[in-house]
Amino acid sequence: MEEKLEQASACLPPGLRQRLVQLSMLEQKQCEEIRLRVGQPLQVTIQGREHALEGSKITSEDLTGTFGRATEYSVHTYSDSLRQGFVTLQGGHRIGICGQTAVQEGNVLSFRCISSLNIRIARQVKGAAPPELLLQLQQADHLYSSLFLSPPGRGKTTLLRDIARQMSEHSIRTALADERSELAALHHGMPQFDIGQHCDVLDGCPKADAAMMLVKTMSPQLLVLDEITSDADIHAAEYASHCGVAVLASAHAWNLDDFQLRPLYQRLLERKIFSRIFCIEADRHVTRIS
Amino acid sequence: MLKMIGIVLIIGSFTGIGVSQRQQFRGHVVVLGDMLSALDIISSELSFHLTSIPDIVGKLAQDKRHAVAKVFSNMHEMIQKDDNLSLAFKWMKAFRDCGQEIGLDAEDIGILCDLSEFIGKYDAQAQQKSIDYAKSRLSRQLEIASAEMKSKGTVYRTCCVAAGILLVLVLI
Repeated sequence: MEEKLEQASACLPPGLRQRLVQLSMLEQKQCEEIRLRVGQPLQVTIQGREHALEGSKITSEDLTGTFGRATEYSVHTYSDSLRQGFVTLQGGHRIGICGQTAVQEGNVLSFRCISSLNIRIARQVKGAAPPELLLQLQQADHLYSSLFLSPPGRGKTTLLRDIARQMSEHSIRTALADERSELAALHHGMPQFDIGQHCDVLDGCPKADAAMMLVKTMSPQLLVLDEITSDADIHAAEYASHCGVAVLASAHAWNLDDFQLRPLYQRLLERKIFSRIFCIEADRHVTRIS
Repeated sequence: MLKMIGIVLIIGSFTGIGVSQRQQFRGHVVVLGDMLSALDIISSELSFHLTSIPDIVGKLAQDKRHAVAKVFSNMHEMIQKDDNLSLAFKWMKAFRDCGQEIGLDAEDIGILCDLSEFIGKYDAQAQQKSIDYAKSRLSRQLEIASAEMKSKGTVYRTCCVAAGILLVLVLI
């Protein structure tokens, strides 16, 4: 089986994993997601479309078993990310979880029952950041703080990871605030992706805290924050930029107009942290929009 | 000369039986202490590092104490296997398979198996509560075992030595 698909599917019960062998090697390489929904056949997403695989329908036990293996039978280890509805597997693959939640005082405590799981396969694309893009991020010794906009699934994380790797390989001290273990995917302290020689990672820590810690302790030249989603993240980016650290970040938006509509991002724009804003198009082409 | 050798052998072997009986009581006390200490390690790893159960089990499998290493290396091997069995089952199986061999009695094994209902299934605090409860039950077992070692252990040793001397006297 293809290496990344095998790694991502390791949490499936052996019987379900065997069904993925139905896919040709090309399909395995192109497989983006594995979807499990109770009462439905096992499905895989290839080039944006879901395909059902032959075999019996997914049962609640299949979902519970997959969840148990994904969390290493250790709910406490993943409790923070579970509250946000996901678990990150070894290799940076992310499992999204749906089902009945247990909520207390407005906060999600846990999942009582699971109805569907979506395993997103993380793949490193070396060269995802073309040289012409890197030239726009750096001129001589100066690094520009840059923001990348795109809707989900267009490769924001892949792009940020590749920029970080290439910058790091060019002797730029790079720090990754990898809250969801997707950029470097540390496993027992070892990055599962190539992130270059001059890269420091703070894994699993809230981005805002991680940014502060990294700036104070690792004196980076470039700080990478994947997905700005709160005021605390904005504050962290602002703090880093005031300390002379270039910030590379991403945010969910279709384009600049969509981005400017959101109150959170309006506050981000007011701070004038980013001197470059890029949009990732549907064909993964990166266009500078500001 | 042969009589003397016979006397020494009889008294020596009876004393050996008595001492080995006392050692069994002592072994039970030691292994209960080891298990309590293993539960302390699990509790600390859960509360401070939120370490996953397989990683904690892997760490305990390398423990220097034979009893702890025996149970947890068995459990670690089972966890490494790619099958559909739950962690709860593997936890219980490891204690049932190795418990008696390392010197735990049925009640101790039951207490440790009861933990399988909680380990890895809830948040760290809930698991710690269940570990604390298991520790209090095991501590009680330890008190009983210590009292047994002091009373019965000495009795067994003395009786066996006395039985040896008595047998020698009868044979003479």
